[in-house]
Amino acid sequence: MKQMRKKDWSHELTLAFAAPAPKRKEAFLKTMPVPQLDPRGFFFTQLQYIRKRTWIFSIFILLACIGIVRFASDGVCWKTAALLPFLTLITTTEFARSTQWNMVELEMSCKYSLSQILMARFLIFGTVDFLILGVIIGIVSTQSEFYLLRTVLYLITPCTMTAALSLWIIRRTPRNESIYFCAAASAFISIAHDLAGSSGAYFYHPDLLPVWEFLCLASVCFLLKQGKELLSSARKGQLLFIH
Amino acid sequence: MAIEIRDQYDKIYRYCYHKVKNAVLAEDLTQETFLRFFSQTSYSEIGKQLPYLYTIARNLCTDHFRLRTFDREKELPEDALEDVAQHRMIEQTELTLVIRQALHVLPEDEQELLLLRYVNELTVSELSEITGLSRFAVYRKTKTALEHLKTRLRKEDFS
Amino acid sequence: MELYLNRVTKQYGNKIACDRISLRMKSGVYGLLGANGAGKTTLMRMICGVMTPTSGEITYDGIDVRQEAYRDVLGYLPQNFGYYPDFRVQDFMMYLAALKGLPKNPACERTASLLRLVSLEKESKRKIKTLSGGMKQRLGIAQALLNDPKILILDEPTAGLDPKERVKFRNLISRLGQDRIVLLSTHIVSDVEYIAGEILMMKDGQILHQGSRDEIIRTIHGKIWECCVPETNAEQLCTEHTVINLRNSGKDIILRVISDTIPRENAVSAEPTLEDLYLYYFQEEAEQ
Repeated sequence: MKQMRKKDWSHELTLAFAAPAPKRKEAFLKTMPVPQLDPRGFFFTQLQYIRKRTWIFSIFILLACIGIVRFASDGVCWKTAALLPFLTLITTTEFARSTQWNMVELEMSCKYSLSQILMARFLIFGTVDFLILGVIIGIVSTQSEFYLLRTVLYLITPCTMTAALSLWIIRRTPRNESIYFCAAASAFISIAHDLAGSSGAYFYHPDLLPVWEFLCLASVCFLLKQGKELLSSARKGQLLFIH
Repeated sequence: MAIEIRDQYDKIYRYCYHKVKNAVLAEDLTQETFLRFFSQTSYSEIGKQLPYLYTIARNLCTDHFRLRTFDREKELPEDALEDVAQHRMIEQTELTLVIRQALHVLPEDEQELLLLRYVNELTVSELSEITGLSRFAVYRKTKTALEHLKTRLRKEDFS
Repeated sequence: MELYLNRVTKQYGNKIACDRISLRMKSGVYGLLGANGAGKTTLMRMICGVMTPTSGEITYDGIDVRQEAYRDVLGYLPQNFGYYPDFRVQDFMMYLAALKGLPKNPACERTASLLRLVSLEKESKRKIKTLSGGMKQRLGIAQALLNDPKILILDEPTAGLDPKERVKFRNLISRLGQDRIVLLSTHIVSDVEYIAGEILMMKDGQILHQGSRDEIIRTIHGKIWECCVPETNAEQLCTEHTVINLRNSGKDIILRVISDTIPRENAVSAEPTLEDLYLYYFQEEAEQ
């Protein structure tokens, strides 16, 4: 008995200190306040509700880009750039979920309302896409015919353009249609890269660099603006699409 | 209701019962403890505020100490044991009985430490906050308390 | 506990959906009665912060409708609501519980007890797309109660419920109204009759009358008549006045009509009911 371990002592002492069962526990517990989910907790639940397929497709695109770098003999830059709009498409469709499935009204009336949900998704996908893009840029730049900054420019622009367009579409188009328009926009940008890139080197001619710089800057600004407008629309109930 | 509050209710109740030896009063004090706790803190993680919860309980019990008027030696809660047996149908081994008797001889603060450390499973840091002792002192006193208990039990063994 | 609407207006271009609505609501069940398109849903959406009023303010105990603290005490059942595909009943409740600020463990417990309350506990693992209309409606009611709201807004909550479910629902709402502000909108008169403490009649964006059942019925006192006429004359009477109902009595027909003055010499003034009231005010809409 003296060789009892700590958990045996715990057990025996629990018995020794036992008290008669409390009689008013349930009634009292009902009056207790309910614990709150803080913003950090809310953010993590939103993370959990991102569809698995979004992550899977994103990884797939990443692998495809790696594949291009590995196996393509030339034109690594435009080939990758043609794939990137689809990366953005996958992530921005997560923003259309609420309108697509008629959850807007319910989500708006909750403590953590629609605009906060969208904000959480911005943060999540902003970070994830930024990282994936960073990896892709890093890998592509090893094989790219251009120096790093130029590669960055050529790869970021299709992403930001697609994202900005998609957000604009989501804000303007009700329900299911928005996804199709987003897909069309992504396809358009992708095909443009395909055609222009494969037809010759004019697309990435150094003379056109200022045009690219302008496009890049403009699309980043447009993207930020669309993000802000989307949140504002969410708050005002414009995502209900009535009238 | 959160599982945490449920658990803590039982633990605080057990603590109060040990202090005041009266079931009804113990429950009153338990409920008062929680009411005061939530009037001061907005609930997010009760787990992180345990020392505060216990301090409230401890102070409330001290305020009611005057109800414990009888001599500790005479006060062997055999009725309470039967009560417990009826309500909980706990296996009443002779060991339990013997441990209970041995416990009652120990100084109050040692009993408290054993309850809080081994039964209510508070950590040394939490105990240190509640009792005001340093972590080392808590650790040492708890060990001593357990040793005392073992010694006492050994004595009982030979009687 | 007071929900205060101060001259709340919603205007779309030239159309005014809600016209300077002012209300003070304390705990209890309020029935919002009106024809479709009367502005009921618009008003409810504004109370829930889903739509912004063109002008006016909405506050609960001083907290403005746009604040998080307001939404914290709000529960809403919209007229139509969706769900993410492949969501099961349990998933739906847990998702919304998180949005309402409930951490996982309390969310589980509340979900279980609320599903029991609306008799859906056996369906918790079923996919929502397989649920019947009535079940989905009950699920909607359950989610509205997740955060134990002080303000409960229910838009056409009994739509799709069978009579038995409707009775259960009425009992539930009566209980809930004890320490909550419950506003339910409906065009089903009997719902309101049994459970609402106070009735709000809404037409063309305005609150026509507000009061207990007896108070507002008094407004059409002396306007409901029962006439006994031969069959041949019955059609004539029908064209002159709105007929609420008719029944045969031998060779004659007894018609219950709405009329400001006595329609026929032998007509008898009848005690108005809420049904009569509804038709009196909403006869044009009812005919559409």
